[in-house]
Amino acid sequence: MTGPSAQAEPQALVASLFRHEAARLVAALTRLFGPHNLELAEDVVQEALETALQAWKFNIPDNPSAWLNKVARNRALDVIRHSGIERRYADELRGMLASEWTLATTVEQSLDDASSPENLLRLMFTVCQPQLAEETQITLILKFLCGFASSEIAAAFLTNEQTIAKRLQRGRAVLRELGSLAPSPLAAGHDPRLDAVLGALYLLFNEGYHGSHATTQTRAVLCDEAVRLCGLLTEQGDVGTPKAHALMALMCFHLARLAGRMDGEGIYLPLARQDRSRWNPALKERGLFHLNTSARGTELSVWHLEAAIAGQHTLAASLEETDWQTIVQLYELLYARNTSPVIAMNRALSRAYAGDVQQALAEIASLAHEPALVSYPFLWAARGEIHARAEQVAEARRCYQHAATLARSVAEKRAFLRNADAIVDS
Amino acid sequence: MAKFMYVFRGGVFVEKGLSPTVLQDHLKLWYAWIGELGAQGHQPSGHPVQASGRTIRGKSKVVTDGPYAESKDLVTGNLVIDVASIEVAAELALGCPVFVYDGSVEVRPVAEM
Repeated sequence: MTGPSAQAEPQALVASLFRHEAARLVAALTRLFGPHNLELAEDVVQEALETALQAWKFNIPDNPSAWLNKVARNRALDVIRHSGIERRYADELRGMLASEWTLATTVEQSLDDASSPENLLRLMFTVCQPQLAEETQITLILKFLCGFASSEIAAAFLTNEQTIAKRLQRGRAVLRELGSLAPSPLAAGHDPRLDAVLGALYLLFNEGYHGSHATTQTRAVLCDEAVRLCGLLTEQGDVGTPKAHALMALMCFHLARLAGRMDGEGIYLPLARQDRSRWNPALKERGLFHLNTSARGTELSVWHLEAAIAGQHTLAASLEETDWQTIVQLYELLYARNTSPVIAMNRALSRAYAGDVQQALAEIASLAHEPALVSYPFLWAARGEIHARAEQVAEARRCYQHAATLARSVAEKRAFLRNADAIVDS
Repeated sequence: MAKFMYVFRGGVFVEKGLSPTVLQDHLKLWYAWIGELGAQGHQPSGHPVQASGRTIRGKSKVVTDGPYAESKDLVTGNLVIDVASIEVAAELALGCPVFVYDGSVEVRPVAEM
């Protein structure tokens, strides 16, 4: 029965409910059926969600997850009973599922445990198989851990559905070879697959944060999902790995600055012209918390360094009060681990802010022919900035204009041109 | 005020393979519509029903599995509301999300005792 008083809240409750419930159930059922039966798990979940939609359309149950668990459990039991020995299930549970004595309790337990983050973590570590390309890993994460359809993933990446379908096909082919989900990363302590997982989550976050195409809303969702999934790792108390806390800090510091990043017309503002009062204090706090927590271990990972740099930027009261010397040193450490030209570029830029303009000019000039940066607009924007600091006005303007020709979106282009116009002849 | 019953047939119920996002967005439409009916004082109250079931028919009371209707004619629920007239009831039904997936709403006056 539907009473009028019960109708105020359900809309807000639904926000991402089906997507997240789908992910939770796919993970629990995949643990049961094995990764080779992923499609079977998806079918059971789809059916459960369709049943829920029909049953919930006038009102939402008090405990939607428990409701879905029950439907999924019954359906899973049906599937296992009816397919008999035809199908092979997860290696770790095969014996338990083969006997009618233990079948029901095993299935029941798996679904009751469905709310624990362990299944999701195991599935996340499973889809980040080292032999899969990062873009395929992210596609699998979005599909199975975030509950997005192929068409929605394609829209977020501004690519077509066939591309996504191909990635999923490649992913499924690799997963089909696995007899069980990856073991829980929580038990292992140090897990060599952690780097792949963190890398994929950061890529997902970046796709949302920097992706120059999808709508603002899609981008926010991608960032939120990366934070949510990273949270599965950081919320594990003592086992929450320092590296995951470092990545979380990095993401929080970036998100804190999201609101001030563009002006009213959606044009990117340079750091110097951002209104720091619009930066989100709660996210700054949260970033700082995770940065502090990340320092518990003995390891100084690239995530720690990246987070420390983002923290210096985000926590500084103004551009002038930023500790540029420290940022340069952090970039030096980062470069020592990863000789990426983008890191070299950022090091040069911070060096200019730190006052060493001549050295910065020499460094940025040496990057001009880096194949990875040839069509990278931010190299030219950084170069423009350094020339401006060196009071080489014409050269600075020329660099910004060149950056504009390489821009990947209208907002980027207008931002570069505005920087070019803002340079005053001395 | 009089009571009217909406009888829903078809709708999203019969559409297969919709993504979680699409499903949850559709559910929000229902909550918006029902919430609005409630806010206007129409006291909506009813039951959604699942696809499965039994049908018992005729003098011989033959019991068959499932409702045998075409999926678009399958009853998917009912809702009773308080409104002034059938015109208003029909007007309010226009906002029902059942039409998004080509379903129908039958508006029937509840017999008064």
